[in-house]
Amino acid sequence: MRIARFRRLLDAHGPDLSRWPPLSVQPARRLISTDPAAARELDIARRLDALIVDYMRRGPAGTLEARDAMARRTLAALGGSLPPQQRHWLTAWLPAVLLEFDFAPAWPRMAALAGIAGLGFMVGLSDLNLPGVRGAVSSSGGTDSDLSMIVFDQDPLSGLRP
Amino acid sequence: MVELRLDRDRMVEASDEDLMVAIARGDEPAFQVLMRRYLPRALGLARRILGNDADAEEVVQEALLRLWVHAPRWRPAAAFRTWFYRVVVNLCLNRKRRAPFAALEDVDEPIDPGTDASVEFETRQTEGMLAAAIADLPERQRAAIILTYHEGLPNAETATVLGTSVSGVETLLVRARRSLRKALGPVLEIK
Repeated sequence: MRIARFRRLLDAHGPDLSRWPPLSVQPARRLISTDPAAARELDIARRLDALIVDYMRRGPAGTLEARDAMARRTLAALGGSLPPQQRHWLTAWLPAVLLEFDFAPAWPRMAALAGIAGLGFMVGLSDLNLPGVRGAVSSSGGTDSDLSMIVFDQDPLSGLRP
Repeated sequence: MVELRLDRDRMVEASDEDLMVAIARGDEPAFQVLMRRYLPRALGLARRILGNDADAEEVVQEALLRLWVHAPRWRPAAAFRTWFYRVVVNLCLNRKRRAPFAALEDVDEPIDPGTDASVEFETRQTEGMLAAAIADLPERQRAAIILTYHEGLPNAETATVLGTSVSGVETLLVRARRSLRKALGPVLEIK
C-alpha cells in the first residue's frame, strides 16, 4: 500500500482500522510499522477524531436543561390535536420516498419569470418610439427597402410581385 | 405483525417498525412512544446541522408531523431510524438554503472550578476552532461528519440517509476531514 492510498482510506473511514475494508487492514498495518510518515498520519487522524468525538459529546451550553426544554417545547407544540392522516386512494400509491423531499417555495421565482416574459411580450407587440431606436430603424429601413426592390421586383407585364 | 392497537406495556418495548404499523392505523399513543424515543436524538442532529435551537425545533416538529400524516404510506424498505433521519436531514438541508448557518455558542459554558483554568481555556479555544471549521464546511460534508460522529452511523447508513452511494459518502468524509485537519493544523501538530 502506498502512502497516498493510506491517506485516502484514513480520511474515508477514520483512524479506527476495524472500520476499514477488511482487505486493506493488513497492508495498512504493515505500512504503519515500516513508514514513519504513515504512523504520523495515523496519529494526527486519531487526534482529530478524538477532538470531534469530544466536541459532539460535550454539546452546547447547559446541554441537559436546554435539551429538556427543547423537547418539552416540541412535545407541547405537537401535544394538541394531530392533523388527519393522509389516506386518500390517489396519494396511497405515491412512494414514501417523496415524503423526504421538501421543495423550497418556487412561486416567487415563477412569478418573476412570468412577469419578465409578459414584459417581453408587451415590448415585442408595442412600437417603441424611442429616439435611438427610431434612428436605427430608419437608417436600416432604406437598405431593407432597396434590397426588397431588387429581390422582389415587380413583373413588368402584370405588375405583380413574386 | 401487531394487533390493531398495542397495549401500553407492549408499546414501550415494541420495535420502531411495529410502532409505525400501529401509527399507520391511527394509533396516537404509539406515535407518542415513537416520538419520545426519537425526539432527543432528532433535536440533537438538527441543531448540529442548523446551528440554532429554534430552527431545529421547527424542523423536528415538521418531521414528526410528516411521520404522523404520511404513516399510512410508509413501507418498511429501510430501517425506521434511517428513514426518519433522512427526513430530518433533508428538512435541515432545505432550511439551510433559506437561512444562513448560525454557529452554536459552545464556548459559553461556565468554567468548571475543579479543572485547571489554562487547560480549560486551551480546550475551549480548540473547540471554538473546531466549531468554526465545522460551520465552514459545505452543508453535505457537515451533515456527513455529524451523522458519522454525532449519531455514530456507518458509512453505508450515512449514504442511505444522505441519499447517495457509499463512495459518495466516503468522498464527502475525505474532503471534510481534510478541511478540518487543515483548519486545526497547528493544534494537531503541537500536541
